[in-house]
Amino acid sequence: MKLEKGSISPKELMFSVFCFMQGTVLRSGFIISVTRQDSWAMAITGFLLTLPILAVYTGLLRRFPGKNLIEIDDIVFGPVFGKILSAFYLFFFVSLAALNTRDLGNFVAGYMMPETPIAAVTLIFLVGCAYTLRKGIENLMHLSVLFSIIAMGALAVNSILLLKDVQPEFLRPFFQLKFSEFVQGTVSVAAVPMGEILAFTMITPMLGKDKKVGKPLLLGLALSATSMALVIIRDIITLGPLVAIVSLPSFESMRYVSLAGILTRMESIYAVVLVILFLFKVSILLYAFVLGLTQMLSGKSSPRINPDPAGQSYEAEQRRGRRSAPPLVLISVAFVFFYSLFVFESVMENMNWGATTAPFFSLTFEFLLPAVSLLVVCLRKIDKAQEVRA
Amino acid sequence: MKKQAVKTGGRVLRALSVSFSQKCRKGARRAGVFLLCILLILCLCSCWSQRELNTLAIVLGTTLDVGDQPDTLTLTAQVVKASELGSGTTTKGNSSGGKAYVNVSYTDNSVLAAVRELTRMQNRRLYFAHNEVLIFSGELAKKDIAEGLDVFMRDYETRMNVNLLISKGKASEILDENVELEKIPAIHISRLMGNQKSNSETVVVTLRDFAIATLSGSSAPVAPMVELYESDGKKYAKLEGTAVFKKGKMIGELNKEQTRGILWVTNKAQSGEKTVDTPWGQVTLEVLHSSSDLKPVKGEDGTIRMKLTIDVEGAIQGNETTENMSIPENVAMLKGKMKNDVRSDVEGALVQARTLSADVFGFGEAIHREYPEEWEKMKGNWDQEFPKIGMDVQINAELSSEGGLVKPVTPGGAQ
Amino acid sequence: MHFLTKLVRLLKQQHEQSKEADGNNRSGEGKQGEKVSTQVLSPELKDNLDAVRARFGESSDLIIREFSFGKEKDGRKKAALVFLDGMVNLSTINDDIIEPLMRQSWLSRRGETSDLSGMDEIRDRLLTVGEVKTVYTYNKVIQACLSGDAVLMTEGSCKALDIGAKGWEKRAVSEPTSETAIRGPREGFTENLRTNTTMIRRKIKDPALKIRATVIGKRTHTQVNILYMDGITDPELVCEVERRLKRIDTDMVLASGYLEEYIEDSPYTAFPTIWCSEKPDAVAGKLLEGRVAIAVDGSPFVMTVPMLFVENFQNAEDYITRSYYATMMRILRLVAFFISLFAPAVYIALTTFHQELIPTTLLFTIAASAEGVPFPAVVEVGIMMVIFEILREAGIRMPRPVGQTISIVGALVMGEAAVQAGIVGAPVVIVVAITAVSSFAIPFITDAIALLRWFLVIMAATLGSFGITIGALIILMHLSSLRSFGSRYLAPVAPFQTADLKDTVVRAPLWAMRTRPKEIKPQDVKRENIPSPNDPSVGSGDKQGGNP
Repeated sequence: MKLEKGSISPKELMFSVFCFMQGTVLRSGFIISVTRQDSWAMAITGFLLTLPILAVYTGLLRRFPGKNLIEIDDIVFGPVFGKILSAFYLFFFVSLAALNTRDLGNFVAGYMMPETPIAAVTLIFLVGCAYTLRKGIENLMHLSVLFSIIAMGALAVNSILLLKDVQPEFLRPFFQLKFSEFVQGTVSVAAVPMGEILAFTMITPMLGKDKKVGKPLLLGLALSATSMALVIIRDIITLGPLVAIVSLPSFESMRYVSLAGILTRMESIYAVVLVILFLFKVSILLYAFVLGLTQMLSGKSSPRINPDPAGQSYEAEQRRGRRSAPPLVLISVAFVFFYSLFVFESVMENMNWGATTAPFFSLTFEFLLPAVSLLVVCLRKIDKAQEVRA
Repeated sequence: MKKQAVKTGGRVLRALSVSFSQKCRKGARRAGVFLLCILLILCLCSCWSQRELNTLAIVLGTTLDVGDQPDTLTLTAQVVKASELGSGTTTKGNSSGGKAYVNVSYTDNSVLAAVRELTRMQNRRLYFAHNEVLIFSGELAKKDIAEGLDVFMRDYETRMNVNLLISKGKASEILDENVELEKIPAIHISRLMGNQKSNSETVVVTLRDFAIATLSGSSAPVAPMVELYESDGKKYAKLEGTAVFKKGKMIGELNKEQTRGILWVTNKAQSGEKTVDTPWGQVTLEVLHSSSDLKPVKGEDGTIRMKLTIDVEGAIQGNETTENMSIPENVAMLKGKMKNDVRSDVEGALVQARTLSADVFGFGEAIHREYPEEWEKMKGNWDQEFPKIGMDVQINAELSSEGGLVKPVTPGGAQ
Repeated sequence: MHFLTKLVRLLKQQHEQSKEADGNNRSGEGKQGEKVSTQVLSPELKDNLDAVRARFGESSDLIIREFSFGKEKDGRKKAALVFLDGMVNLSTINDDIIEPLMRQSWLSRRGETSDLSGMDEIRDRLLTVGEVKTVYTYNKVIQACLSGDAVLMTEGSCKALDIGAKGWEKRAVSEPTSETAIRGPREGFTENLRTNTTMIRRKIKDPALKIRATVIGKRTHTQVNILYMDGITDPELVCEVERRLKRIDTDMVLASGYLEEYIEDSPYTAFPTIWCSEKPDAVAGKLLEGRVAIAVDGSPFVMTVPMLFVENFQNAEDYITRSYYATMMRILRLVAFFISLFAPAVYIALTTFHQELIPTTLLFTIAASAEGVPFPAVVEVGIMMVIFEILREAGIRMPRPVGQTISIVGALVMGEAAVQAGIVGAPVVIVVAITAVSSFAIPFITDAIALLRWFLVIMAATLGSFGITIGALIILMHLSSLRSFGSRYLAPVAPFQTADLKDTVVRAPLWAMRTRPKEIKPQDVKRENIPSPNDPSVGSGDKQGGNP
């Protein structure tokens, strides 16, 4: 039967962005410690700051429909320099994957199972990611709507259960921020969770050539920003000044839920949702990495790994469906595993890095390099015609 | 010709088996490798964080006392004996009617050290996740409360919705009280706290509330106090008054009426009884609902005063007099009495707070929210500024119902 | 030697025919005639009968009735009727074949001038049987006998008549035991293919219902019918089903389950990707949604493809009860699914990793019962789960009265005694019992759940709720990657298709289900114009496309 090319819909892309963001959003402690009761506004300003970044991505992707970031690099900068640039991106993807894996490891080993070594947790987690990649990233993205519903549902349930403990006064006074704090908060939000949608530039070709890329990305981001603001507001009005000193505000506020002695300790819901969302995020980052690596190593724009077997017959699937690049998946996962173990010595170091260096580190890859690419494209006037010739 | 037939048959068979085994071998190998990986990983990490229920000592209440050595404290943990609690095991009949709890305690330099030392004396691990009450002794509270707070908030096992109490006298003795309706003193106390809505005479404070107040810098944290009283040679615990803290130390107490005053101001009073004296005798009024609103107002001269509005809705609950309290004049009078009663509560609390120079009402936070600029100026010497803040109290009282009787039950009232 | 040659030829020809593996008798007919000319019937009746006897060997059920008919002396003609005992309807044989031949030909002879010796004449004028075909080859003769027809051969003719006289003992149409109906139709499929297709045809009286036949199994020669609605079903889907059926290379198909394994997309999954039912109304509903049904002779279950995951939670009764109640039942089934999949794992995770999540009072109860138990929670749960599976198997396989004894012994004696003796805690028994009961609320995936439950129990025992989450995600990814004849198994949840949610967790009123499920790509997405009940302009008497 027929092989479908554009195997995800814009709606799925949008909710994928949402799920991808949510993992970090729930861990909003890193900016709350800086901007305290005004952090919710950072979600919005951060979102606004992300818009130009998004515009750069859309600009690039629109000029080369059906191509992903690595392929665009090759076209724009030629095979050698393009490869070098691609290597930077790949480094960024794999670093993010490792960092997020480590984050999850810290969380699980810290809160859920204190005596378990972090390596065991990350290993099992990455086995889950590897399985996901083997089964095809499309299938994960199909699930994004379901995951979004779960995440929003959990958020709503927890917030409703907290209603009797909240004190809206904690939000006031408004905007008692120094300018430097404001900038730091905004840039952190823009760079650390939001700018990471760079990974989606590797996935957008799945949409099919005729579909608009910008709109689902933008809507997904807007949705994430809204939910981020809501989560932060919820945390602030539950925890008050405590919000700035606890390491995971959302987790702490959910630990506070206690209704009639039965509906207590809702953090388990939070933990489950967090694991789901992190798996989603790390899988997408890993996919971006593995796909980029495959394309770099094979030297030509090979089809995406694991084409969606929808509509293929069993036989066809046997013949070519599973013959994607599993060795690369396993090697990448193993690499991320070790990388995540050595990337930070402790949670404190991780937090410190997240608050200070991370935004600049991320912005280099998220904004600078794509912007340069776009500039070069505009200056050299590479367009579709040339692309066809190339 | 026969041979030929056999040959063809054989070929078909071979082809069949090849195609089958190829299909199968590939998948089976893949599945096998995957399963093996999972199994190995699981073997690796089995049972690290695992703890069976019968290896846990479930702690329901914790107290902290001053230790007998300098700079030490005594931790007492109330551990449940699940088999004695026995709702699940009534058939076994081994609940011998003994106490359903054991109190273990140890004195050491810090809370965690004491917990660790206890593991050398107990075969089970102390498990704090279900801790419901945390009681500091007054003596310890007057010295330093910060250490206990930090440990109980930092640890992942403990929770922030633990009830915090201060004991008059030794805290560990509270957990030895005689309990009649419950089986475990800690549960008794924690349910007691839940029941305080109906009288509005005790502040109900969780670890979170206390920490928030501590963090704010201007507010003075408060915590309910618990004490033992004797009756028929048995000791029982009861709630009495409120402890006031400042800079991590307990600096004073509020009595029942002053506590009620705090609750009026902070919008936590919900219901309760008021007995008012009328010319004919006593009448008991019940507060059904109440709400209050505290707002700082800047006067024309730039000084800030607090404006408190309290709405009280009550009902006539008991009438010891022979007078009909339902007539409008009497209702108006009762309203007035109720207003005065509330006002005197609030003013009593205000006076005591000023004496202690402790901002138990959260005036500072209110000003901070409403007038951040002025707050910056006042913040520095808030201890001096606080007693000077004036408060205007406006009370709206409403008597909405008179219970089931229109007239009092008086001898010969039917004529 | 002559005989032997014939035999070998026959064998060879038989072999080649199966190598083609098409099974379609009609298409194969012409080719065989051209290829092996020697295997056509000989004019000698004796030769023919010998060949047939040789082919069947000493089979005691082969009956060859030799007789003669026609003019008294000179015109007498030898003939033989060949059939298998038990496969034919004897009254047809007696009254409609032998009687007219031996009597009527005798009588009608007088006024006639024509010669009755011609086979065509016999067929056209004498046989009072509905289905008569002329055959020319041994092979066809054998086939006809095997499928329950009687074959008439006469001296001097190279033709034989394949006379439809099928009639064997068969089970009457009865109420299906696996799916009981409360308000719906009670007839269920039987083992007889034609009865089954007829039952469907009676539900859908539309020439667009097409039935294609094929034969599968080198030895069993099982009749398989493919049913679909022309104009609704995706033609590519029909082709794909036929292609997959054609590819099957096996010697036996004894029930529909045999075929299922050969044509499903993912042979290694624990979940069913082909739906089957014993109820004609349910299958008719699936057909009208654009699915393809596969009916196998000898099996009272008719399969439909493609299958979606939600079909596990649907029931033919849903469409007959009120939609609110049906929705509630759907939700209950979903809850039962989660309970039966996760309950033991969650119990283990809670009691050995996350005691903080158990409400305090409940924790005491559980702790009290765990006090005297010698095993860790996972072993306790494991023991009870194994015991339960054994009980279930024993209860199903034993004759019904014994089965009841087993359940009494198992449930009362073992459960109660184990708790009393302190070998397992009471909460474990409760959890396993709830799990068991829940798994019966969703009979279609009970087997899959029974397997996956163990996987989750192991994950929970080693990594607590984190393990359960990862395990559940792996299962979810697996489900999401499953395909059933080109349809994504988890649709309409993943990918999310809002329009098709009307028949998942909620069961919308029938008049609101105006479209067919998109995931199975029907040619005609819109159902017939179903008037809404509060639409005054149209009468609502139309028969609705029942959708089980």
